[in-house]
Amino acid sequence: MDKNAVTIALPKGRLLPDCVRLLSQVGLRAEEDLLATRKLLIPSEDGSARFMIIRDKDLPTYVDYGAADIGVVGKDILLESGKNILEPLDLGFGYCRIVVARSAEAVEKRSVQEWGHTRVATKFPRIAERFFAARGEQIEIIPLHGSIELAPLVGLADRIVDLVSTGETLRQNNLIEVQTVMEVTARLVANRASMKIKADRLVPIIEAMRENLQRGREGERVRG
Amino acid sequence: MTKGNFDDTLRIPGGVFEMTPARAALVRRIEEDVLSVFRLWGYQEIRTPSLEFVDTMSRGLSSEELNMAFKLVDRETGKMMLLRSDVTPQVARMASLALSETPLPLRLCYVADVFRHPAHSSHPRREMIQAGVELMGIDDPQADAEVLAIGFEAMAKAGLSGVHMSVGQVRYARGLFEKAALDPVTEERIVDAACRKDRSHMERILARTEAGAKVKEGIMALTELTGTVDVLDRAYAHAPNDTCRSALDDLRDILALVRSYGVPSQNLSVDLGDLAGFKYHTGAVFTGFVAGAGQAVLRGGRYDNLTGNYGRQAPATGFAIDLLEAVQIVSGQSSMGPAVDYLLVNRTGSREEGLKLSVKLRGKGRKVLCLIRDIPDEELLPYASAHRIGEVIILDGEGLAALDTQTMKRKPIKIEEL
Repeated sequence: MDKNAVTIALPKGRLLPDCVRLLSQVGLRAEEDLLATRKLLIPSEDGSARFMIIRDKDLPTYVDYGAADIGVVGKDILLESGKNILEPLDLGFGYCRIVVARSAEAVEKRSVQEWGHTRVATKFPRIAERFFAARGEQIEIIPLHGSIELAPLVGLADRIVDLVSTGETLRQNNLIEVQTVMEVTARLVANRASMKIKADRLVPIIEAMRENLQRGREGERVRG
Repeated sequence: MTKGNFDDTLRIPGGVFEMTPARAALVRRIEEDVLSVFRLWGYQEIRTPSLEFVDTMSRGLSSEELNMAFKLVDRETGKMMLLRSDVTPQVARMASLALSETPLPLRLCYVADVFRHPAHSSHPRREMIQAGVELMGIDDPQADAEVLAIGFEAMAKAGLSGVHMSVGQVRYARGLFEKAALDPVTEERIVDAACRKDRSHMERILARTEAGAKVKEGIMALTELTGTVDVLDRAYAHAPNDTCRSALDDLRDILALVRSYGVPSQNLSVDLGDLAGFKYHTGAVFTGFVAGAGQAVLRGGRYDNLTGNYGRQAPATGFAIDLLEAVQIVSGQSSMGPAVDYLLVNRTGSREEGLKLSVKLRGKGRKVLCLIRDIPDEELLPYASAHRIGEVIILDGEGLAALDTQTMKRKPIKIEEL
């Protein structure tokens, strides 16, 4: 293994297949199938890089401390982490939205102006706090880790701030989207020091990815 | 109290540090190394107060920086005070008051603890040790190059290998913003996006502005104008006015001078999108990175508008090294010698004889520790190693002997050999 190998952090879960595709397009292939392996640290075929597969929430931390040089993570996780790292590319995939939702019943009963001081359950306390603060709304954040949709149904919170891709979970739980907080896509993130010290390795990778994305976009335009 | 049942009243607050002897010795060594380089370049050490009035520091710090400081109330005056959160404004005040009669340029240096609430969730440290220099009174690329070269030398002396310095020039971005006639809010957003190299966000911000296509292109390029010196040529193509062009000339000059000091060009790069501290800095800025540290170890740059706030207008440049970050890297690389040369065991029955020997050895500059209460031979070596003592010497009726660390046998030696 090359001592100067580039360490690339990839998030477990829904973004991983797109990440693997992107990497192979720029000539980075792992020794093993990244989608199947249970190893945490996997060298690339040519030994010039190594991949680590970690929880998306931890990814900004690895990159911030330089334990990984670059990585792929959703903008939602990145913003929520509050880490001060570089994000040179919007990769375009992994699109979803963070929205404010309420129970259908509550929406029927009251208009927006009447909400007043309310409780908001969310996995994204930082993003939610900023969103409401910017609109001058005072809220009480209730941080949760999963099944956010349950909170309004059992009276834990009046509203939720959560990630939506198809909206199916909201519908099944009789919740209605009332505001969009932000749109989310996957980002390429990079450690500040690595971008300087390993510039000769990282810049070509990032440039190749950028060109690839551009070609993809132009392809879409042609087809469209 | 046992370790398993931790008493909460023994806790140390998060983000501050205590240092056991080995750590403290390493930090002291690095401090001295760095200061010795500063002195070689003619910089004289100063000390600044740990407490300052908020009023005084607010002349030199932004409101964000003031928010980051630890504050308390002065019982005498009722005024708000803060724990030193930045040394440079203090140096600016000293230049304006205590040293007001001393002709410019001033070359000053310091090592000081600074205290800040963590800015990003990134680094939960609240206490830092900074070592820095300030060169006040010269507006010339030679001054920036001098300071940069000192930064390189100090970091190398401290034992950091492969230091990489990224150099920017905030006047280049300022020239572009002037041309684009951006409002302050938009400008702040662009600065923020540039600092994260976030092109897609930058694109969205620019799409909402009225600026011309050419200057927009120039601003977009801030995210990618990084790399070797030829970046400056590419930047020239985007430069819409003299502000930009003079910034690039200044940078080119500085880089050439730094190379003349013997800094290899592969350890230098340009980053015109480095706009951290955009409001405060007025010219060349630089950030030092070292392999093994995820964050910058050195930060500095030109700040021509600070000292005037304290009454003595002077163009200035300087930097600060984050010594704790440096120690973190060096401690992985270096092994320090013993802290004490000899553990002296006196078994002659005469206390005086042992003391006399220890005085003699210290007179020769040896670090000697006298064992006051005797312990068995087999406990001597573990004690010595736990206390980082180099050698155990025993003085008894047969004379002076050293205890061999392997065999535990005594080997007669003469005082002259020690």
